[in-house]
Amino acid sequence: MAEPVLSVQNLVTRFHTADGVVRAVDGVSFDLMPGGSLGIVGESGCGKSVTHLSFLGLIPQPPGKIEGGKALFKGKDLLAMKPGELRKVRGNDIAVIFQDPMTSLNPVLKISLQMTEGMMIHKGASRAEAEARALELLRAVGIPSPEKRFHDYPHQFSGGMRQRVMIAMALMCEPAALIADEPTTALDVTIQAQILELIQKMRKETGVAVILITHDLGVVASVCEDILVMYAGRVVESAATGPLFARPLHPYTFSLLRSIPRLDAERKERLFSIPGLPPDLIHNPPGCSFNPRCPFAVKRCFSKEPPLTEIGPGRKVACWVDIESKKERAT
Amino acid sequence: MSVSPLLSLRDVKVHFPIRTGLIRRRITGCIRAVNGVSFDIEKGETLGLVGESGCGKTTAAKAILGLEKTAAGEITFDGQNIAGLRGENLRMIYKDLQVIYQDPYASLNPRMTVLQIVTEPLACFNVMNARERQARAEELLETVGLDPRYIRRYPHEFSGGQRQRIGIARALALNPSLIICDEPVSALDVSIRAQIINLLEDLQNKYHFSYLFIAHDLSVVRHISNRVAVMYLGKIVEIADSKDIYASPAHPYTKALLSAIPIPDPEVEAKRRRIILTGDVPGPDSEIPGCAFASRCPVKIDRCEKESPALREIAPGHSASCFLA
Repeated sequence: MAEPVLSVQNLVTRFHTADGVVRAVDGVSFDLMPGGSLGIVGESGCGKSVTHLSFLGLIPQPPGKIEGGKALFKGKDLLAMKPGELRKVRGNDIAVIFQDPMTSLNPVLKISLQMTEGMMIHKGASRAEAEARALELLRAVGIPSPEKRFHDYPHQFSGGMRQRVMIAMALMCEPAALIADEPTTALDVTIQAQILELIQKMRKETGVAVILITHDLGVVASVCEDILVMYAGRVVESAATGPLFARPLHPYTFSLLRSIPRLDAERKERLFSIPGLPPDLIHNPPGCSFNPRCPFAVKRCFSKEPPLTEIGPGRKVACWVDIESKKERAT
Repeated sequence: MSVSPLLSLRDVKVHFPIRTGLIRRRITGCIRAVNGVSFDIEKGETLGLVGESGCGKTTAAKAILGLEKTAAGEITFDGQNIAGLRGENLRMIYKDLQVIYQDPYASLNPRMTVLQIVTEPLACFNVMNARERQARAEELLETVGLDPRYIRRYPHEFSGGQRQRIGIARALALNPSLIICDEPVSALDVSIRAQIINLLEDLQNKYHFSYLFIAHDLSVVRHISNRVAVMYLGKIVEIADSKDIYASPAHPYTKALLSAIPIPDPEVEAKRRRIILTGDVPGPDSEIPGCAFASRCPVKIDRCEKESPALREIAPGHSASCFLA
C-alpha cells in the first residue's frame, strides 16, 4: 500500500471566544492517497473548512488554537512547521480553491500576474517560464483564446471562468494535493457540472490528489472515491463512496440521504426530516452530539461519546447502535 | 378547468434601462430581465419557477408584487389587473398576496419582536384588536412549529430555520390566497431544508392557498410543485407537469439542467450521461435575434439564430419554446 500524501491524525482545533470554547474540530483523522479523491461532507459549522485551514496555518490565532494532533504531509508534520516553512508548502505542494472566486482573486491585479507570482516565488521560475505554464494551464482548463484573456482583470471573467482561472492557478506549481473548499457552491448548476468535470479531468491528467469539501451529497457522489461525513466537529462516518450511499451506517448520514428530494425518485408525499437543529459547538450535549436529533438513540448515547470504530474493510462509523439491526453494538 | 386562474401573467416584460454619461441621464440600452413571460396559477396549486441566477425569476416575482414596474403585459390576480397599481390600490392586494424571502437574516427587522413581526400585516390592515392579534400570533407560531412563548424574543435569538418559520408565520397572518416563495430553503442547512419543505406542504394542505415557488434547485422544485416552469434569460422555455418535466423534458436547456443536477447515488451517477453545456450565458443587455439559448445549445440548427421560437403546446399541458421540440 502506498504512503498517503497527507495524513491527518486526531486534529483538534478550538476557538476561545467570549461566549465559551468552540470545539470546531474535535479529533479528526483521515488519509489522502496519492491521486485519490476524498470528499468531506457536512453542514455549515461542522468543521469541514476549519480542518484544512488548521493544518495550512490559516486559522487566526487567537481566538483559534490548534490543541492537538498531527498533519503529516509526505512524512513531515505541518502543525510543527514554522510559518516560513509552511509558507513554502502552501500554494506549492498543497493548493486550495475557495468557494467564492469573486473574493479569492485580487480585483486590482491582472490574472497574468496573480497566476505567475506563486511559481516565480516557489519554484524560482523566470517570468517567461511562468507565463508559458500559465497559458498552457489556462488552455487546459478551457479558457477560450487564453493569450487574449491573459492580461484581463478578474471582473472581466464570469463566475465559472473565474473558478477555472482559480483551478489553473492552483495547479501552477504541480501540487501533490489540491483542496477544493465548496468550489461550486457559488455557481449555477450547469456551470457546476462543467467545473466538477474539469476537476476530475485535471486529477486524471496531473495525478493531483483532491480533497473536495462540500455540503452537497450529490456532488461528492459523482466526484469522490472516498467520503468523510462530519458532524459537530467530528468524523461520524467514513467509507468508500459506493458503500456509503448504498448502506449508510451512521444515523446522521442515513437521515440526511433520506431527507434530500431526489430528482430520479418517485415524488413522495412527505420528505423524511431530521428534527431539531444543528448543534451549538459551545454547549455540546454530553455523549454523542447527534443524540437530540437521532431516531435510533439508546441510553448510552446520552452519556458516552461513541469513538470512530472500524467495522469493516475501509468502513468506520462513530455510533453505539447498528442501525440495520437496531441493536446496540458490543463496545 | 373553466374557473379562471388565481394569478395570470400575459406577456409580462420588465426592462431596466442602462444609464451612461456623467449624470446617468442618457439611456443607452436596456436589460430585458423579464422578456415576455406568461403563466397561470390555479387556486390551491403550486407552480415552481426554476432557472439559473440572472434568468429573471426573482424580477418576475417582484413584478407580480408591484415592486418592479412592468414595461408591458398584464398581471391578473383574483380577476383584477394588478400591473401598474400604485399606492393604496397596490397596498390592498397584499391582503391576499404574501411573500417569503430567501434570506431569513435580512427579511426580519432585527429591532422588532416576533410578536411585532408576525402581527404587522394585521396592524397594517387594522384587523383585530391588540389582544386578538397576540392570540393570533401565538396561534401562528404554533402552526409553524415554534413555541408561542418565544413571542417577546428578537430575531437574533433564533436559528436560520426558526427565522424562516417566523417569516412563514408572517406570510400566513392574513390568510392570503397566494404566497410567493423566493428561494425559501436555499439559505438553510441541508438537514433543516426538509423540515421547511414539509411545513410549507402541510400548510398548503391545511389552508389551500397557492404557491409560486421560485428556486434554482430543480429537485426541490419538482418535489413541491404541481407544475414547473423553466426560465432562461427572461423567458419561459418550458412549462409542464412536474412529472413530465423530469420524465420527458422537451427543451434542450431543461435537459441540460436536469442532467447537471448531481444525484446522491454513485451507481445512478455512473450510468448517467451528463450534458455539459459549453460557453456562458449571454449578457441580458445583448439583443438576441434568435433563440436566447442558441449560443450554448448542443442541438441548434441555423433557424435558431435567426428566429426566436415561441412557447407552443407540444402535449396537453406541456409547452416548450424550441423548434426541435
